[in-house]
Amino acid sequence: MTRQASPTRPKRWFAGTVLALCLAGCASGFKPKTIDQVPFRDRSVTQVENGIRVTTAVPDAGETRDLFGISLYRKRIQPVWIEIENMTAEDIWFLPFGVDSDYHTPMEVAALTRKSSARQQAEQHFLRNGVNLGIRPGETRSGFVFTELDQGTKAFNVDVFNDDDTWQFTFFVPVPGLATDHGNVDFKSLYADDQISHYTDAAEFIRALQQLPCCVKDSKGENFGDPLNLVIIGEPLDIYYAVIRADWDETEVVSAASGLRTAMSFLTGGKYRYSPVSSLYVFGRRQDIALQRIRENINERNHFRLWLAPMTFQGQSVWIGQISRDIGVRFTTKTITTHKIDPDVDETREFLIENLAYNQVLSRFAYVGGVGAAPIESPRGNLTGDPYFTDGLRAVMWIPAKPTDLQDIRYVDWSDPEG
Amino acid sequence: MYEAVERSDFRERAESQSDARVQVSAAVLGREETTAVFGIDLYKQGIQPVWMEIRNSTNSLARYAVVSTDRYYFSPLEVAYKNRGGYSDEGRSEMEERFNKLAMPRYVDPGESRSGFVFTHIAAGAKGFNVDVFGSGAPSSFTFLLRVPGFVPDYANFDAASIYSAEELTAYDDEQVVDALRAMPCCSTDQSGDTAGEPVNIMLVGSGPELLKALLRSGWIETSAKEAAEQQPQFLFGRMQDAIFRYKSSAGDSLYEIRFWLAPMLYGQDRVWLGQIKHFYVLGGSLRRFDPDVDSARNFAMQKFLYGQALQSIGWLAGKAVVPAESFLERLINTPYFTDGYRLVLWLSAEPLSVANIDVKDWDLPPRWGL
Repeated sequence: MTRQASPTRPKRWFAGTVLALCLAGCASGFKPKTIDQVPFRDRSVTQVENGIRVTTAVPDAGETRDLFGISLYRKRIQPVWIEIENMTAEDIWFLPFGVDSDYHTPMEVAALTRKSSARQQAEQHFLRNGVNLGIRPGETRSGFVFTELDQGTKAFNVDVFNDDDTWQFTFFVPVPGLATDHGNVDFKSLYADDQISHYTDAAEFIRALQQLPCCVKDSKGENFGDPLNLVIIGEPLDIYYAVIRADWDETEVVSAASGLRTAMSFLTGGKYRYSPVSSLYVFGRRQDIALQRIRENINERNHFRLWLAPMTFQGQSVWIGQISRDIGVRFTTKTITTHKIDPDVDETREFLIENLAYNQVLSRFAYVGGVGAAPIESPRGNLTGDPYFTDGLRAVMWIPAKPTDLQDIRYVDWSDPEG
Repeated sequence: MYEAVERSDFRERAESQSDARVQVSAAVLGREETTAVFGIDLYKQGIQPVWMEIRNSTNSLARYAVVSTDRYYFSPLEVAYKNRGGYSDEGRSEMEERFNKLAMPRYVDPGESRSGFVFTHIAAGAKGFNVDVFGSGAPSSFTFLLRVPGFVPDYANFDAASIYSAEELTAYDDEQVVDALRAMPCCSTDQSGDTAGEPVNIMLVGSGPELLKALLRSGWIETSAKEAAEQQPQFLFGRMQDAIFRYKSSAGDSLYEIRFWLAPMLYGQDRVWLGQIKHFYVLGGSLRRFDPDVDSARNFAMQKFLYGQALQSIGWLAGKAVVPAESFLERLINTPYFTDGYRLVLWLSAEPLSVANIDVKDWDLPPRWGL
């Protein structure tokens, strides 16, 4: 077998046009406001542990422009404000690497100011935010760490250490400006109380899981699509924190502006991470939560959709879901463009188990049936005509309230429904 | 036509590691081997296949976690899909089948052995990765640092034993070493030795192999001999650097570079390596700019080692070669950088050590963070 010359890549001439527009829009003088003039710290979050107090806040796009005189969000840079009070008797070190292991340096950010007269002011302004590490006993110090942009919810750690001790604070700080998918769903009103089944016995619960629909449907409730091969059990807030911690991005609801952003991302290969996803249906409604996790560019991402199921298990909420790995974009007759998915959907399911485990947000997992096997020789098709094959199993994943180490994750053998 | 995996010699150079439960062998395929095995130049697409074999000596099922080797690994059919162009229908399904069949499986039955390929992102220079295998109880975790065929690092001809004669070397004990470190030259020079270059702001204590392991484990990348020769030379102890290592941010907009010189010091079993760390950033396009804030670069490098679990001790030394930021920013002086003059001394650890076990030397207090 020989391979012919690879097809030519799409031309990127209009990427330059987009950049030129941005340059015109981004060029501005250096007129920062002081930190007290910008009320972003109204949303600050504080944690205290063993003599260390950490308070953080994340300015949104407009507040960042006010604070630094530059549209840093357009450059995919997001400042995180951190204040640390050292109430111990020893010196401590703050490690910005824990906030973002690719954090930007002050001079790098200052260099984004284009006018040279303004740049000199900017350098002084940014440098005052400090680059060093030490905080003496009794001191309170504060500054900004310049991180990669996250919209929706910003999740990060603040790591502090000294010769005797270490402190790790995990923060989830909401950032205004993104109309997220699940923001529109009122989870409490999805089901009436008498519609919810409460299971405590594993065998009964397993049977109920097996009877849940095999696959998603289209909006008319007719055609069967991607397999529902995930079950997630836990407190809703813990599940939400878990997926954010495991690097999943919330999805923006479809609007004219976000549609435009998706198109730009697809055409320029840029990383617009929050593009809306198409709707799939279970229980007669579209997904309650859609998440995505970008790999190299928008054409390489994993999609993950969840629906709240009308049941609880041992008092915790139960969600059913679908996950797919995009491996390219293809044109279909049903939608204008769609993502070609990896036909080995079990591989993607196993990836999610590992992804959650390595982010310490998985405590137990099991497998149950219900999808129906489709061997590689006779694959089934999803709603956009992509084939997939599967062993027919659903992965059941328990999300803990506290981080769980890898060695403490338990496999539960649910292969025998009576067990 | 494809080359049979059984006939390929990467299996012979595979390195093995084991504990009581699991044995793992692994090898990284070079570009030519990759093309021979898969019939496609995967390196061109940034994909580097790692071959591995896992033997499960326990009585329970073992599971290999693919994300432990590369958290953004490529799935086998994803690699096949990327290369679908130019095949006939029959050829394409043959190729898909081959990728699927050669992929490393996740599960290994008790007493069995399974082998296959994991499709990882390409690494220039030596390849560092983990292989975690789960069964009952604590997982078995192995760290591999493997040579990639076809890559010659800039330090290939470096020989720590022959750089200095016996008379040139001075031995120090714990008491004397701090003063000796303080007395080390502040800066590199040009070739003539007359013009002062950039600061030497980091010092690493450990053997050559320990230094290499610590660098690779912390995510620093080797520089090829060819690439190193294209860099502007810096001199110390009358010679060019012994090695250059780099780290490029995942977004590609930041580049950190460390140059090392072996110092003429003996300190117990250890050697001392003087380092110069610099940061470059990219502002759109490909123009790289030097970040004049060399202290930022120094602190970043320290944290990179710390989070790479490659350190056992850290000490700060205040220095006299201070270039105040104000003077630099107001263009009152003519240096390309500014610095608080502090230098970091880092003791390397051959085995992974968590932050909780780090010993902080009771020398100078570190410079302060923030306002």
